[in-house]
Amino acid sequence: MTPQSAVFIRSKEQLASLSGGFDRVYFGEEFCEDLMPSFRQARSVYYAAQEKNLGFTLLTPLCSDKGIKKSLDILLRLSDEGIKGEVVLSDWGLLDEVTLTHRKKISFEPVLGRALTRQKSGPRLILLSEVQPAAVETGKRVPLGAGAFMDFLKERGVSRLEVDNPLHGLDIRLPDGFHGSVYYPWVYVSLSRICPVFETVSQGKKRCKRDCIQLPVRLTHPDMPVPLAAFGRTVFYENPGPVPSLDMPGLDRVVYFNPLGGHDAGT
Amino acid sequence: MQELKICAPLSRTDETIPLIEAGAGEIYTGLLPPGWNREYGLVCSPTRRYGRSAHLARLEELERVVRDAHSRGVVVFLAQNERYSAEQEPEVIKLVKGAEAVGIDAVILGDVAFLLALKRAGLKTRLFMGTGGNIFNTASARFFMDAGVSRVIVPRHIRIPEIRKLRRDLPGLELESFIFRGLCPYIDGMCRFQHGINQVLGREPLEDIACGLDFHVEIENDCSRKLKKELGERYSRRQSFTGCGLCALYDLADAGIGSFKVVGREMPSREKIEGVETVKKIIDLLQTGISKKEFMKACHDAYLEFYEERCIRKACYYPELWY
Repeated sequence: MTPQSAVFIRSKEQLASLSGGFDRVYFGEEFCEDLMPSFRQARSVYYAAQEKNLGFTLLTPLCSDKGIKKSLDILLRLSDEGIKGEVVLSDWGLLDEVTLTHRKKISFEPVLGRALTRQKSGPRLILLSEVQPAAVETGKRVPLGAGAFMDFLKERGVSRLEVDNPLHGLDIRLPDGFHGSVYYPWVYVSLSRICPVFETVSQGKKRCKRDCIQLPVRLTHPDMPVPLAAFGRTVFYENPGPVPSLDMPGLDRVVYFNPLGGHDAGT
Repeated sequence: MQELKICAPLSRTDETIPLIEAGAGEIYTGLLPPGWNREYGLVCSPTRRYGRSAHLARLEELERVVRDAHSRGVVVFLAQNERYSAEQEPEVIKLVKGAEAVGIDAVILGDVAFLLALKRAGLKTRLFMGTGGNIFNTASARFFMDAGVSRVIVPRHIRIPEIRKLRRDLPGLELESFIFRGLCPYIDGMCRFQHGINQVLGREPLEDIACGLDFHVEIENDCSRKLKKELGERYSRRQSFTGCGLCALYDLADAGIGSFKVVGREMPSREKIEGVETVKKIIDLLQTGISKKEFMKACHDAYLEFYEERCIRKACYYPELWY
C-alpha cells in the first residue's frame, strides 16, 4: 500500500495556494447540509485539482430529503461529464441511492464517511486512562462489528472507510480489500440541527449565509482536556499530537483537515 | 384517530405494573451483558445510557418484566442501540437471543452493523431503528425498511412536516417519536461526546453531560459585543435538562405517529411514573376533540406542573411551534 496524503479545502482559492506534497483534495461538506457546495463549485474545484494532478473527493453531509436530492444532482451531473472521483457518504439514505439505486450512473467510488463509522471520538475518554483503561481501549477501536457489516460494504462497492484520530488514540484493523483514511489534526465531535450562529444572525431570514465560517467559536471548560471549536452546527477539537502513523492494517491515507479548509489555516 | 401509545422507560422489575397503571402501552428497557463494565466500562455502554441504574442486570429480570407486561397486554422492547466492535458483537448477539427466548417483542437498534449481524444470526424478533440511525429523509427510512426494520423512532430534531412526508412516502412503516423529557441539543447518531466520566472519576458534578456544561465561550473573529453576548448564551450550556414535545401531540397524532416515547431509563421510578402520567393526561385530553388553542394551553400548564417552571424554547422538541 502506498501512503497517501490528502487535504480538505473549502474553496478553489485554497487549492491555488496549496503547497506540494498532496495526492488528493477533499471538497464539500460532511456535516451541515447548508454548507454543501453547488454543482458549479464542485465542478470548478475538480478541474482545478486536475490541473494540479490531484485526485478529487466530494464530501456529502447528513441529509434531509432536500440534501439527498442536491447531493444526487451534483453526483449525477458530474458523472454525466465523465468526471471520476470519490464520494464520502454521511447518510444511509444517500449511501443507498449511490451504491444501489444509481450505482450504474455514478462514476464516483463510494467511501464510508466519519459520520457513518461512528467512532467514540469525544475528547474526555482520555481522562479515564488511569482509572479505567479498558474504556479507553474500547474507545480506540472503530466499531465495525464482526463481519456482516464488512460483507455488506463489499457488496455495495465500498472499500474505503474514514476515521478520526481522537485524543485517546486509534486502533483500526481493516480486513483485506479495505482501505482507511484518518483525519488530522481536527477531530469531529458533534452536530446539532439548530444552528446557534444562524439563529443569532439570520434576523428572520430563511436562507443560511454561511456566517459560521466567519464566526468560529471556542468553547472551554475545566472538564474538557482540550478546547472545543464550534463552526455553526458542528463541534470539533484539535488533537495536538503528531501525525497519525499509517502502520495499522488497511490504513493508507492521512486527510489533513481543518474545518476552515486549507492546510495551515487555524492549526 | 389511531390508538396513541406511550412507550415508557424501565430499569427495575418493580416498575412494570406502576408504569402500566400510569398509562404505558409499551415498555422499553436495557440489559447489560455480564461483565460489560469490567471489560469495557459503562462510559462505553452498550445501550447509550451510562449508569448501572439505567439497566436491568440479569436476563431473569427481563423475563419477569415481559411476563408481567404481557399479562396486561403491554409489549416490551429491548434497547441494544450502540455500535459494537468485533469482540463485543458476539456477546451482545447472545444477549439479544436470550431476550428473544424470554419473549421480548422487539429490539431497538442504533446502527446498521448490528442490524445486519442480528439478521445473519437468524433473529426472528421485530427490529426497530432508534435515533442512532439518523433517519431524516425517506431514502434512509426505506433503506432501513429494506434491511428488515418495521418501526423507526424518528430523531429528536426532525420537523413535523418531515414526519408527515415519511408517513406519506412509507405508509407501511411504524413511526415513534420522543414526546417528554431528555431533549438533547445534539443529534443522537451524530454525537461523540462521552457522558458519565465524572462518575467513574468520582468527582463532582456527577451529572456531567457535555452539552450541559457551562462553557466559557470566545468568538475568535471580530464582531459586535451584542453578537458575542448572544452567541455566548447560545453555545454555553446548550442542554435544558427538561425536554417536552407535548403540544406537538396535536400535529403528530394527525401525522400518523402511533407511539410516543418518554425518556429516562436512568431516572428514579417516581419520575418515570409521573412522566408517563403527564403524557397520558394530555393524550386523553387530545382524544376529547379539544381545540388546538385549548390543547396548547393545557400542555403548557402540564409542563409547568411537572417541571415547576414555564416552558422555554430551548426545552422544546418541536421549536417550529414557537414561530
